[in-house]
Amino acid sequence: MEPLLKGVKIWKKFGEFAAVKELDFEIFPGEVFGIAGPNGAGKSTLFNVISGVPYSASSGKILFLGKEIQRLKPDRIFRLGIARTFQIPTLFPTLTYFENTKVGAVFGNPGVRAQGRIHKPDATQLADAALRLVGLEAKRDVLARDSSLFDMKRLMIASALSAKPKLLLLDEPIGGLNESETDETIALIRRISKEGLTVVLIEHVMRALLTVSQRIMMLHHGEKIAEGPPSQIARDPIVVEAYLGQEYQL
Amino acid sequence: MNRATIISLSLIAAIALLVPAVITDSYSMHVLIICLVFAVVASNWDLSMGHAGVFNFAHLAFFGVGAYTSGILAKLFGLSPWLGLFLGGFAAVLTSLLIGLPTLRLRGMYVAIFTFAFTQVLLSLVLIWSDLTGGSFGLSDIPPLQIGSVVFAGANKVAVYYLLLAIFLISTCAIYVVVRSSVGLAFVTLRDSQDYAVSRGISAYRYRLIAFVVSSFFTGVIGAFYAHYLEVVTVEIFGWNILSLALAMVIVGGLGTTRGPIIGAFFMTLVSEYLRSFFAYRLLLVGIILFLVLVFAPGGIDSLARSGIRRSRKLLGFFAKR
Repeated sequence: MEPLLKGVKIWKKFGEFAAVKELDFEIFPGEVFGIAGPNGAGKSTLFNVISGVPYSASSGKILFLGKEIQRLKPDRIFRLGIARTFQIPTLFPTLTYFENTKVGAVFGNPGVRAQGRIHKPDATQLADAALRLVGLEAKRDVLARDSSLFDMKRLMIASALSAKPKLLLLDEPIGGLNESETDETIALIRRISKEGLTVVLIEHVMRALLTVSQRIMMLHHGEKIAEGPPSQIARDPIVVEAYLGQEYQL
Repeated sequence: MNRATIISLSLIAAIALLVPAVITDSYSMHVLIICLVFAVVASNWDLSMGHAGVFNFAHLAFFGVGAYTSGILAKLFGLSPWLGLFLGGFAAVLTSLLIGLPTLRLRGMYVAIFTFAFTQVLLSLVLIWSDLTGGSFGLSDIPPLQIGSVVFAGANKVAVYYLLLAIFLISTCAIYVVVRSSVGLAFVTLRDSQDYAVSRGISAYRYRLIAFVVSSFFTGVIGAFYAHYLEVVTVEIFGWNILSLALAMVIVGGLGTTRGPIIGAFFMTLVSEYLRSFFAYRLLLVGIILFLVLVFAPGGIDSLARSGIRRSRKLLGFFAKR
């Protein structure tokens, strides 16, 4: 099977410091691919260079559906079908939940050209469907300014989903949430995955990462130290030493 | 548009149309005309700065370019002042492209510094090209706008007022159309969080440039109108005094609200006229007003008015229940 997203020898340097070092990876259609590692391992930096926000890779290739995207502008990358969320919850505080979500639908769907015209899907329908999927339809017309952490995280996901992406990059969607919110988010990721969307998930909450992901890549100091199914990662001695501290019981 | 908004707008329109029947003295009509001129300037500045979050300090340069372009074309080349209105707007658009294309890849204060510097360059050019612009003496004897025997200048303030009201309405409607479109949505997202907006498919450069250029057109038109109304234009138009006063209008009225900067233009013009007797202290007092608003009511008059209306409704509801 051809990978949906492929990274080839990706480097990201800030001056002399390399946050990501010669990283290779492949993500296949329909899978949930987990990324874990200690703080500063380069996880979010990897999302940044894939999405182009706020910077691109220093060198290496990133192929999406077989096409190089590492030099494309971030808005173009989004329109190609790569949507992301951020570790620090971000939203448009002066817009409502619906408008926040609609932004993804309006600017993420380039439309299909037919009979000399560009046909765009209905942004309102897409936004409402995304809000329903994440369980925020009741807050449709509420201003996003005073949102709870849980709402902010779900709103970012809704905004990404409304663009009908092919690949969803979730940066710590569970961090900081309580037990029931964590369970709801795990269920949400499963629902998204069930709809056929490919998901890349960065998460420190190992219970979530190990139960949701089909494969996991461990990063440490910007390098890949392990990759494989959750059962293998949980027992890998290098991963245990660098990150887990002890073997994780699945 | 709900019923309350339609009633409010109809009321404002009726008052605006009837004003010349109530205000009959020439000075008050002149102040009202200046209020409307700055309402166009401030609401368009708000489009780029308030809605799109571009720290654009070249906005008064667009006003000046419109004024000088139309003034020079009418006086020195005999071009119709009516055509000059459009050419003033067009020249402002070209200027905004000239500034915006290299500048708007920058962010925040860098844009403010570059755009302000450009305004100072224009000021210098006006002084250097004195044969064309009149230099420090200004460009005088600019032909007024005229239809038949009706001259839109001098003592004929009522005609000026109605013409200006029409330009103001067209400009305001254009702003509302832009703000309510997907382009307006992109502006707000860029103001709220540029990185997040870019991650949602919005080209920061393209939309900031659109905001910059769109806001310049009517500012140039109104600059041209201003030149033909006063029949003179001076280099002060590029100076700090007018820039700071217009900035105060936008901020005191309420950034990013369109309605706020229009109210702010009326408020600050009237305050500025009232403070005229304080001479040099006038700008200081304007600065104090700006400071007080920024500290105690950062949302401006618009926000204060809205919270006042909300409280009144609650109070009315409370008494109605009792």
